[in-house]
Parts: sequence; structure tokens; C-alpha cells
Amino acid sequence: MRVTHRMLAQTVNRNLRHNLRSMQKQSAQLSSGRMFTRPSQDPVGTYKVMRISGTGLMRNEQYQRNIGEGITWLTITDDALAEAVEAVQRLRELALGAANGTLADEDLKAISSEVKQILESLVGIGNTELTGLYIFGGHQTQVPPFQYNGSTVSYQGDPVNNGQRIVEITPQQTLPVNLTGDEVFGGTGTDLFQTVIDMYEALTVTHDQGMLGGDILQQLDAHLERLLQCRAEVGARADRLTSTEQRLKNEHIYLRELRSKIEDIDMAELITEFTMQQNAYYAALATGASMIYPSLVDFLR
Amino acid sequence: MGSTFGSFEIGRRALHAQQKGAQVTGQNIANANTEGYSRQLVLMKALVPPAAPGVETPPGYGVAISDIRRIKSEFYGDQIMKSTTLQNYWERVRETLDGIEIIFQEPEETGINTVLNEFFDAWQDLSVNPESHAVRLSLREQAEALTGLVRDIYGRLEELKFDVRKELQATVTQVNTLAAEIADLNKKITYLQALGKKSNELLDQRDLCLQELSKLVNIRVNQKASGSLEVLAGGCILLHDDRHFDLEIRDEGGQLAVYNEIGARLSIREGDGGIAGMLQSYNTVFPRYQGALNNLVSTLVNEVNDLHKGGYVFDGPTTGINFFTPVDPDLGAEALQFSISDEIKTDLNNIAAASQADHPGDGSNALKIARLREALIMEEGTATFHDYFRGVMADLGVEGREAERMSLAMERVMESLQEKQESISGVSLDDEMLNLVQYQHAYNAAARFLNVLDEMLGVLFSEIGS
Repeated sequence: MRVTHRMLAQTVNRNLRHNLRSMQKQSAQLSSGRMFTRPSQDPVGTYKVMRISGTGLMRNEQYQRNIGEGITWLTITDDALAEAVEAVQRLRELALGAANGTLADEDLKAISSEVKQILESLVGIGNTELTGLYIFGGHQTQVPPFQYNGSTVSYQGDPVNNGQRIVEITPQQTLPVNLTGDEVFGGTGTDLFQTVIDMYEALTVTHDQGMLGGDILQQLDAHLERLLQCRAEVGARADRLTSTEQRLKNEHIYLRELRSKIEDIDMAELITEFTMQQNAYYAALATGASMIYPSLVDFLR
Repeated sequence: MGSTFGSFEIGRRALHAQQKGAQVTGQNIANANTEGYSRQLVLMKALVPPAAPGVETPPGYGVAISDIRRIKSEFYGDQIMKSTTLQNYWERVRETLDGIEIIFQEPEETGINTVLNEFFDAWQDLSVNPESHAVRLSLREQAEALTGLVRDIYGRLEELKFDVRKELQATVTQVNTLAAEIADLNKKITYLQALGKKSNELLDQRDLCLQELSKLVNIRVNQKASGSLEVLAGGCILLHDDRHFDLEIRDEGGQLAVYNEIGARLSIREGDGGIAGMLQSYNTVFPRYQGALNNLVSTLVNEVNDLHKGGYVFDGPTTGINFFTPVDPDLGAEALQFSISDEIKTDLNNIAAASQADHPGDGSNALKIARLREALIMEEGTATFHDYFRGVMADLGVEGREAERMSLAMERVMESLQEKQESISGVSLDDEMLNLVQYQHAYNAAARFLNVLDEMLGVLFSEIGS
């Protein structure tokens, strides 16, 4: 084949161009830290990365946030329940003491005023707030669910079948993170507050010691039983949240690794390749410089 | 034995021929770097006298220039034009797809994929905190970000599409200019040929014009005996002899087509040069990705609104509110109409998180909307919004990759064809220097020959005449 000087120049030019193109690609990868930044550089990788970052990681983080929120709700619910349990246990002691029948009037008075205080604090527990939301009102979080008018306590929240706060924790799992007032304190008319009001009346108005040791004590036991069941329920839900959170965290690590495998560069490998490419480029430059110029012109007088 | 002065004639012809040789060598060297120049070769022939019976054959009359030949391979010329056409098509399509990729910015964190996920995340947040003003505000901001991004992307696609149209207009003008130029060269070349002459430079110029033309459109060239050319573009006449037919663009209901001035529609297919790449971009590529956005938007708006209308505002009985402004294909591109409804814009409490009236703590309707992320709604119930969009981006990637691969492959083919062509037609300075030295020596020798003849005649005249 006949070779002309223009061909030599074009070959050098072409080689330099090809080298530069590779170097440009590699330096883009090195500076971004990623194998590809555009769909056409790796369509399948793009598809996978979009799925892993979006539907995978972002959704995973969202569920973790949901769970965090759920755990806050359940924790504060459990705290309130613990206080309620303590209060009911104290009421039970007081009822037992008052039913004894050997107490002086002053003692009964002291008991009755403590019962009254406990009633008020129980109403307070029923109206527990979390960042301005009443947690025992079902969906009625804007107003205190329990109203005490001095003689009765009325529940204004949603019933359990209609007031659950449902939180999604995985695409297939939802979980209520609240307990409604009726669930915790009993249905209207037979609720804990009514029992305490009845107890107060038995202490102050009817002085019915038999009732204190009988009905009231039985009712208090039933309330205590329900409260403990509620705590068990809350504990079980919190366990479920915690274990799901752990699973989500594991998945998060796995997804991040997966994404990294697809899109992150192998720094050592790429730098080696880049250096090799650079050497090739310099070699092409050097040979180009020595090839382009001389022709017979330089050697004829 | 020839005549005495016949030998002078041999010398004269030799000087003339060698000088011509040096002159052509000079022309070659001068044009060593001229684009489209084909090296020329001086062909000499020995002049032989007719043989006569009984007479000793004389040594000949000397030398004559038989032709100054343009060294060019028609085969490679044709191949180069065909590959040029193909390469420019893929290069142009690739340019469009590149532009679209840059606009979509996937898989970056600023793309629709991420923002759409953030939108659904915001609904999740609302489902957990339906009472929170801050969460409602953040949801509205996410929705603004999503609608704004989609409108922006669509608008930029529209701008890019408009640019392609302008470029097509300019390119068609360029074709017309080249056609006029070739027609003009046809005229000059046929004129010279009629006079029995030829100009290698004009032929080179015409080849260069054809080469330029083949970048833009698929041409077929028919050589005529007169030296003139007939050129067809897309199967329609573009020029013959000194007459050319201007091309023009016509808009046929949003689809562009190219016609020549006598009303014939050019048949332009995949691979048919830069113009085909622009037509493909304008008529097919942009509508495909813009259509995908419209499809995504109209479905998303309808699905979100359907659920949202079934929900209730914060702590109140009002229902039936649209979250997004409903889109109507009759009013133009759905993607450009993508926006939040006025009700939501004016009052955050109108975001219907609850499934029941007067249930401020109910986030179940928000959860229903958040679950649209998982719902198989697109592609006849086989894909989620994200699956669909990811699929579109993967298609964009595959298409872009294909165009890049084809364009690079054609570039390689072109390079090797051009190298072959250059190998045949290119000027080698070494060759030319050798030729020059040869011509110089031959010229010197011919001059010396005349000198010797002169001396011989001098001897003859002086010896005999004295």
C-alpha cells in the first residue's frame, strides 16, 4: 500500500483522538466516582440503579421513618399505660384499705381525697399528648378525648374499630400505632373513670365498705387486667416494629452494596487503566512528532 | 536516418515534457494538503514514426504528453459517500438522544425517578402525621417540585425539538446551495469537454461537493457521457446538467417531510444522512419521549385525583377535591398542564388525608395515595409508575447506545476507506520529490542533448565550411 504524509498525519491524529476519547471517559468516571452517569453508558445498569435508589433505598428509608414515628407513638402510649397501671394498683390498695372497716373518718377522708386526685390524674393520662396530639382519641387528636365535668367523665374520641392510626411498615404490612380511649379505659358507662367515681362516692357519700371490697375491687381488677393486656399488646407491636426496622436496615445495607457494585468504580483498577491510557497517549504524541515532519525534502540538497 | 534538425525537435519535446512533469509535480506539492485534491500523474508516450517497408525503422520522434491523469478510485469514492451518509445519520440521531439524556438527568438524584419517589414518600409521611401542618407543607412542596420538574423537562424537550426544526431548515438550504454549485460545475465541465479539454481541478471540486451533499442526504449519482451528472436525492431529482431543483420542508400535521420544488416527496429512510437523522428526531424520537411523559402525567393525575376526591379535608366534612389540576389532551400537552389544583394551592387543609369526615388523625387516604407507588397501573396494568418511567429511560439508553455504537462503527469504516482513498489519491511528498529530481535530471539531460547537437552541428559547419 502506498503511504502518503497526509496518511501518517491522519493516523497520528486518529490515534490521538481515540486515546483522548478513552481518557475522557475514564476521567469522567474517576471524577464522578461512577461507572456511568447516563442511560446510554449502561442502560441495564441505569434501570437497576434507578430501581435500587428509588423504589429500593428511598422507600426503605421511608418505612424506617414510619417505624420511628410508630415507635414514638407506642413508647408514649406504653408510658401512659404504665402510669395508669400504677394508679389502678394504688386504687386497689386504697379500696382494700377502705374496705377494712376499722379506719377513722379522717383516714377515709384522706383516702377519698387521694382517690379524687388519682381520678384527675387518670383523666390526665387519658388526655396524654404527643406534640400537641391527643394519643387516646383515635382520629380525634385535636381535642382532649376525656372530659371531666366534676361528676362524670365522657369519652369523645373515636371507637377502636374506627379510630386506628395505621402506619405502613412494609409494602405488605400495616400496623396500628395507637390505642383508643375505649380500648384502654373500657367502654362508656363501664370504664375505669366510672369505677373510680363509684369508688369515690362509696367513700364519701354512701360509705359502702362492702361495695368497696366487692364490686369496686372486682372492677379494679378487671381494669388492671385490661391495662396489662394493653401494655402487652403495645409491647408486641413495638417488638414487631423493632424487628421490621432491623430487617429494613439489613436490606438497606444490602441495597447500598448492590448499587455500589453496579455503579461505583473500582478506583485502583480505573487509575491503573487511566495511567496506561495516558502512557499510550504520550507514546502516540511522541511518535507523531517524529513521524509527521521528515520527508525526502529534508534530505535533498 | 531522420533529418538533421529532427533531432532538435526531439530535444524540444523532451524539454517541454519534462517541464510539464515538473509543473504537475509542483501542482501536486502545492495541493498536498488540499481537501478533496487527487494527485495528478503526467503520462508520457514515445512518439514512434510509421514503419515503412524497406526502410530502416527510425529511432522515433521523441516524447509527448498523452494525458495528465487524475488518480482516483471511483469505487472508494462511492463507498465513502455511502458510509458518510450512514455515519451522519447516526451521528445526528445520537446528538438528539444525547440532548434528551442530558435533559432527563437519570440516574442522577435530580431526575424524575427520585422526585416521584419523594412525592410518594411525602404521602407516606402524611399518612403517619395527618395533623402536621409542616408535613402538609412539605407534601405540597414535593408536589410542586414534581410538577415543576416534569413541566421543565417537557418544555426543554420542546425547545430542543424546535432547534432540530431550525437546523433542518438550514440544512435543506445547504443542500440547495450545494446542488446549485454542482449544477454550475456541470456546466463548466461539459463546456470544456465539448472543446475536448478537461479540468481535473473542476472534477475534484465537484467530487468534494458530492461528498458534502452525501453527509446531508442519501444521493444517487448518474454520470452522463457529456461529463455532466444527474443527482437524485431520496429517489427524487435534485439536479441534472445545469438545472437544480430546490428542496423545501413541509409540515404535515406535526410530521415534517422534504419535497423538491416540482412537488415530489423525498423518500427518506433510516440511515439516509443528516437530514434523515433530523427528520427521525423530530418525527419519532421526540414524540416518543414527550408522549411517555404525557402518558405518565395524565395517568398519575387521574389516579391521584380519583383517590384524593374520595378523601376528606383536615378535620372537616368537605370531600371531592382534586389534588392536581385535571389535564385535558385537547388543551395541548398534558405534561405542560401538570400542576397542583387551586384548592390545594390556597389551603393546605384541603389535602384529603382522611377517609372519613371530621377525622383529623386519619391518614388512611394519604396511605392509599402513597400506595399508588406500588400499584400496577401503567402498561395495561403490568407496571408501576416507576417501572414505566425506568423502562422509558432504559429504552432511551439502549437507543442512545445503539446510535453511538453505529456512529462510532461508521466512523471507523470511514477512516479506513479514507485511508485507502488517500493511499491512492493522496500526494506523497517523497514520490513528488523523486519525480521532481527525475524530471530535473531528464530536463538537464535534454538540454545537454541539445548542447551536444549544437556542438556537433558546429563542428560540421566549421569543418566543412572552412
